[in-house]
Amino acid sequence: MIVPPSVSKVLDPESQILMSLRLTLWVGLTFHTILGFIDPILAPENIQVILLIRFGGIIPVLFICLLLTYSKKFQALRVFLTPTPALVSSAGFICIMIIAPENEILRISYCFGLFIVVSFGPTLLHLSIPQAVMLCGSTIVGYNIYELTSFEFDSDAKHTTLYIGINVLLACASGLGVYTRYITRRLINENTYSAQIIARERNKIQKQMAVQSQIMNQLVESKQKLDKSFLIRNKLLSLIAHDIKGPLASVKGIVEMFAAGVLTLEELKHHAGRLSQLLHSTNNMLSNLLSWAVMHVEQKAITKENVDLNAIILENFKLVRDVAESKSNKLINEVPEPCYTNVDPSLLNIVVRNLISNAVKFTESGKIIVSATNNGDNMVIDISDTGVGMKAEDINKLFKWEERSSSVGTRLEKGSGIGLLISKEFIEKQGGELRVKSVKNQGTTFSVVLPQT
Amino acid sequence: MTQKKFMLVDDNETDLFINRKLIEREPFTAGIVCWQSGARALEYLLSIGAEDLPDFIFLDIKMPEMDGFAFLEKLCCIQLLERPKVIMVTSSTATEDIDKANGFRQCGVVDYIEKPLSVDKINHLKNALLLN
Repeated sequence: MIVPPSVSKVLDPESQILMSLRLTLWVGLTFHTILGFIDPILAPENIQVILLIRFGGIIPVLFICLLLTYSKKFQALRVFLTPTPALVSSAGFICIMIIAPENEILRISYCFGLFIVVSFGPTLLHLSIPQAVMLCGSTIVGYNIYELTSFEFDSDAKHTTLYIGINVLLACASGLGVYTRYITRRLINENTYSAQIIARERNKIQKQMAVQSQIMNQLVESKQKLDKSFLIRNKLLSLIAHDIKGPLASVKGIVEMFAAGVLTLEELKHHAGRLSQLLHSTNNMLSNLLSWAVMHVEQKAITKENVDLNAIILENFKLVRDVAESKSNKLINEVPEPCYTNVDPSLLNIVVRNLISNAVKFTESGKIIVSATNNGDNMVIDISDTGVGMKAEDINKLFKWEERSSSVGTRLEKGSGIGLLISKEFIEKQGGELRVKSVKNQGTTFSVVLPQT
Repeated sequence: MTQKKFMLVDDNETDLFINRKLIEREPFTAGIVCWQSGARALEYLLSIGAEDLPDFIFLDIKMPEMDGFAFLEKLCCIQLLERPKVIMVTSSTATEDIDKANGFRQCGVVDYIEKPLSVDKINHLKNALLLN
């Protein structure tokens, strides 16, 4: 069994966004808390307001955002949560700058903060393009509003240069931030895409393998069927070769000798009886084979009808009467009259003929009894004899094509056992069952069980 | 031409009759014994003296109880002053049977004939085997 190579676990984009948002919020919280301690040194004159903005505005908002990332509703809130840390930070910076306009160091350091927000925010927060543009735009616009409302540029050339420089810097940082975000997003997408392709291919391969193993199973099954049918065919051929060629050779030999003048008319007459018996059993076997072949080749359907069992039994008794008498066998019909059963008459006829002639073949100075019982669901036809019987291991071999070989009756009658196999098949075709009970030297009973529904 | 003695082993009465009838009319035939069972035929071979041993055995393959090959195996094992030549006479034309019969050449198998035996086949045998 081939197993497709396993794919290393790739974090899906949703989890990536969640993880980086949480990280950003933690970093932001830590950053603002530390700044809260630096603020008194940088801007001692406006410290209350600055701390209020920081600890009363920025830090609680970031903290709430952080808590919300653990909420089940995160997916629904994501679109608002992702830009919030950066927007709150830049808003906070701008607010502080408005409050402490004269403090040069504070202003420059917060401009640096804004710069960090616009350059790293889009990437860290996995912002979409509109979100990133909104963040950068609002930061730059906020800064400009602050500058334009605070100063008179004409009077201060140095400040004007600083103002333009910071704007250019923020614009560059924004461009860089959006571009970095674009690149990382693309890399992540590609990675995810290839992982998806691999997963899809793996699924496809697994499906194909499942189909293949199914096909393989079917192949094995049909090979077994084929092997069995080959076996049956070979068995049939060798049976035909022996059981039909043999008697034909005898007849041919006698006829040729008579034609060549080796045999006298009296000698021919002497052997005619035996030859006719040989031809009779050969004919019987051929008709068995033919009905079997017709059944298989033409796929003939079963045509069940109500027939009187007695008619079939008496007809077949008539066929074997001479042979039975020559072996001092009594043929007894114990089937109640009339006994109607729902079967395919031609198939049942072959079955009954085979079972009765088998009983006669293996019985000497005994009885062959046919009886029938109908229990409503099933018709059971028993064909029992008081003949040679069988050992348990022989009974097991009876219905196996591969174990069949010529069997010999009490008077060395030839037989292949093929009639029995065909009978079994014909009974099973009608949904029935062939059972056998036998005791060595006491006799055999074949029971044909036919469902009546 | 020296006189030859024959033994026929075949479970089929009619075939036995055909074979016997065709052989006994030949002038070189000194005697024919027929057996319908291989076991009985072996018993007979063991019970007779050297002068009664058959020169040729016509042997069928498909026989109940002891088939032709089982008979040959037993025949190989018994001590005989002179080994009879065995001619397989059978209705089987299966190559595996012919190959198997050829494997018994050291036991005296000299020919393989398809049933039924006929005047022509006897003549062929006469030229190939009996006159040498």
